[in-house]
Order: sequence, then C-alpha cells, then structure tokens
Amino acid sequence: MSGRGGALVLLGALAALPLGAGPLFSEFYLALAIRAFAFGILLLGFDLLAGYGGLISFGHAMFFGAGAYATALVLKHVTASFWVALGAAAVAGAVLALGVGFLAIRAREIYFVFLTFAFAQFCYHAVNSWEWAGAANGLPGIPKPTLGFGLDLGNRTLLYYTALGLALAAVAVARRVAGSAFGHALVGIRENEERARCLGYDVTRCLRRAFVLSGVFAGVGGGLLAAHQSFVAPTVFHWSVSGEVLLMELLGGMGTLYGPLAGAAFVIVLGDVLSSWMAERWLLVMGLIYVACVLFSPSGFAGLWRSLRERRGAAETPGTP
Amino acid sequence: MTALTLDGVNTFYGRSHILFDLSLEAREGAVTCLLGRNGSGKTTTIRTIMGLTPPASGTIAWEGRRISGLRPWQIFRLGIKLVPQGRGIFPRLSVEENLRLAMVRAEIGDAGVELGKVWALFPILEERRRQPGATLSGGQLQMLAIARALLGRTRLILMDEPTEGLAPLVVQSIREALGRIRASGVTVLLAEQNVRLALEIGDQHHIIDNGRIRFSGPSEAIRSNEDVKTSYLGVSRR
Repeated sequence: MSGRGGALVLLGALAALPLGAGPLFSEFYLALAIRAFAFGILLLGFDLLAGYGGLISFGHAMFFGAGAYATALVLKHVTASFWVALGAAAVAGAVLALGVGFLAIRAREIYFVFLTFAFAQFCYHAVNSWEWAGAANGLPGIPKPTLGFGLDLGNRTLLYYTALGLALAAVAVARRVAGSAFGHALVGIRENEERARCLGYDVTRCLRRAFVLSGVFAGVGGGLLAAHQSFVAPTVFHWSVSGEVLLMELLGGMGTLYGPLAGAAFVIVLGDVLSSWMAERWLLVMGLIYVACVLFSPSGFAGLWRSLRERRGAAETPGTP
Repeated sequence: MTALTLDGVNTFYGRSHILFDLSLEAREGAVTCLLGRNGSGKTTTIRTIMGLTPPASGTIAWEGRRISGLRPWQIFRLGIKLVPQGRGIFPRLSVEENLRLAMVRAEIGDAGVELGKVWALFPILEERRRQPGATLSGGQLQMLAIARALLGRTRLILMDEPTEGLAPLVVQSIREALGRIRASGVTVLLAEQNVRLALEIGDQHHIIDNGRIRFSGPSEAIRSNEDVKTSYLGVSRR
C-alpha cells in the first residue's frame, strides 16, 4: 500500500517539477532531471542484464554513446523528427550490442567485464578519430528536434515531459520483461547457469537477447541525452561513464529495477550539487557514500527501502511475535 | 525395448580420463541402476548423458537417435530430465517459482494442472509453495527436484543419488515416489550408493568402478554374486 502511495507522490512531484522551475528554483534543475531520466532508462536495461541475468558489463557507455551519436547525426543530417532520431538511437544500440554480445557472451564474470570494457574503449578511440563525426571535438550545434504537430523540443518543459514519458514507458517495458518467462529465465541463469541449461534453456541465446535489450535501453537513453544537449562529445563513450553506470546499479540495488533508477537519480543530482560546492573533491564524498552503502546496505537503496518498510510493518501490527 | 544406449563412451575432465569405453543400456519403462562407490564415475556418466560433459568418443542414443553432441537444452527437449546430485534447487526462488521456471521449456499444457499434479505427488510442497528454496529440508528439496523433472513431457529421468544424506523416513517417501514414477511409464536411470534400496526397486543394474562397467544384470544376479558385492560395492560378506 505505502509503496503505491509513495510512487503516486513521487509521480505527482515529477509531474509538477516544471511548475517550480523559474519562480522556485533555476531551470537548470529541469535539465538535470532530463539527464537523470536518460541515465535511468539506461539503468533499467542494465539491471535486466546485470541484476536479473547476472552479467556485469563494464562497457555500457558504448551503447549510450552510440545512441547519442546516432541521434545527433540524424538530427544534423537527416531530419528534425525526434521519433526518427530516437529510433536511430535504439537501432544503433541494438546493432552494436548484437555484435559485441556475439563476441563477448562466451566469457563470464571478470572476463566478460574486461571484454566489454575493451570493446567500449575501442569505440571510444574510434569515435575520437572519426573525422566526419567531429573526432575529438564531437558534434556541436545539434538542431532542436520536433515532436511533430508543430511541437518544438527546444521548449525545455516540453522536453522534460517527453523525457518523463519515455522514462515511464521504459519502466513499463522493463517491468513487463522482468515479470515474463524470459525474466524468470534470466534469474534462473544468474542463480545457476548449468541448472538453467538442464531445464531446457539455451543460456547463450537468452543472455544475448538480454544484452541486445540492454543495448536498446542504453541507446534510447543516449538518444534522449543528445536530443536534450545541443552537443555530444566522445566522452559519452569514456569508461568513466560505464563506471558511473555500475555505481548507480550497485548503489540502487541489483535486480530491483526501481533501485537502479533511484541510483541514477542520486548519482546525477548529488554529483551536480556536490561538484558545485567542492569542485573536483566531490568524488571523495561520493566514494564515502559508496563505502557506507556497501557497509550498511549491501543491497543498495532498494534493500534499505525494503527493510524500512518491514520495520514499519512490524511496528504497525502489534501482537505478532 | 531399449530406450537409452551408451556405446563405448569415453569422457574426460580436462586431461583426466574419467569414463573408459563405457557401454550400458536402459530399457523403456524400467528402473536401471548405476551402482558404485564414491568417485567411481556415476555422476560423470549421468552428466555425460545430459550433455553437460560431452563424451570425447563413443555414442549415446535415445530411442535409436544419436544424442551425443547435442547441447543440454536440446536433450532436455527430448524429455530427458536430470535430478542432479545436491538437487540444484534455486535457493532464492520460492517452491512455486522453481517449478514455474522449469515449466517454460517443458511443453506443458496448463500450469495450474501441472502444479496440481505436483501437489498431489508431494503434498508437503504445496504447504511450502511460497517459501524460498533455501529454507527447505533435504527431503523437501529432493521432492522438489523430482517434481520439477516430472513437469511436462518426461520420458527419461536421470537421478543422481536422490537419497544421499536423507533420513530413513524420507528415503521411504522418495522410494514411494520412484514407484509411482515407474508406474507412470517413465524410464528411470538411477545412480545410487544405497545398494539395498537399488536392489529393491531396480530392474537392471550396472556396476561401475573406476569409470568402467564391471558387471551388469538383474537384482537377483547381484544378490547372489558375493564377489561383485564385496569387490565393487563395499557390501561385506555375511
């Protein structure tokens, strides 16, 4: 009950956020929220792969970057339609994940981590020297996309609601996948791969599918980021982005979907607040928070939320031993 | 009729040779036992049939069709199910989730009907249906592992020491379940160390030692062969 109530309050607050921008706080916070939505979409797909399927990738920046570049290039050279550009981002993420997944999903655990890292670094350096796409300078001056019906996403409030809608749609899709037979199969593979094989699952194919799916989510997230910023740089492919993704996942709580979403919002918002206070040293604080989280709530925010609710539930029903 | 045939099977773990020219048969609808001491190769034989440790040479055939070289999930789809040593229950999933996970690929009709069959076979599992696997007792885990293997179209069930570490009373209920499985026409290949139990419920027996089949025959042939019992099964002469 309280979970649903909490979700409604949160949704209401998110829907009302643009009303406060301007009079109450700077419009900059809307931009920050859009960034958080972009990462949140990526994290949903990442959680299906890592939290449910147990495959930890250290290279998701490449799918995020591929989506961002695909969107930027389509907006610059093909059409101003947001939907076409976002579709291109999804396809770019999927195709790249298909290729990388085909090669990398022979390995597991640390070897898989290194392989995905290597592919992502390869992409980073390739984009850095890709002259047509601006090489190290990136792609400045991305035109503002349109939604159709004369709606221009240069309007930040409209972009905010579009991003919110995309994030909600991503939540719906991710929940659906997690609750499907495929989602259960991923959990079975994570828990015991050999057992899943003996129950008739083609493990390699299941994991490849999950990998491609996470590539689509990451591509869409990257596309949203590119549509929001008027500029993309090769740094979206940098390994530190993959590291941030992993941090968001671990802080949020693996295999819970909502946890990693909260992790994404937390890292984006706190990162911004802290870095405006203490410049480079904010990473020190983030590191301490991370250590505290590992020590006191290894299952992340989701675990913390669950134990808080359980404690309150126990207090509300006196008489039970 | 012979349902499962192993012919000249050699299996390796890395570079160590485990099974040597192993040949055995299991008849359709019968309980065939694989008897032997610890480390004799029973588990490897079962894993080799399931495709988990594919044979380096030799053939495995199921109903005349060669299955050596197929992947475990393909073998599963032929109706060959494994009840592994240590039961292999997903500890963090509930009893029902464990069963549902096994239904997806098992060509079942109605999930509710299948669950009903499981509850009828092992009523205790219905009481525990929401409990995570990790909280079940050894006997309940074994029941769940057997129930899971029986979901859908099961033709051959490979059981690796199902009574290992169980209390006598629980062994009794596993034995009853085995009787019902056999009555339903499913072929059983049972790896066991419990010779008394095996001789009681098995039709044919293969005695394995050091990765080689040393003796094959029906229960009476083993009961009356003191040499075989003392040298390979560790049953003392009385």
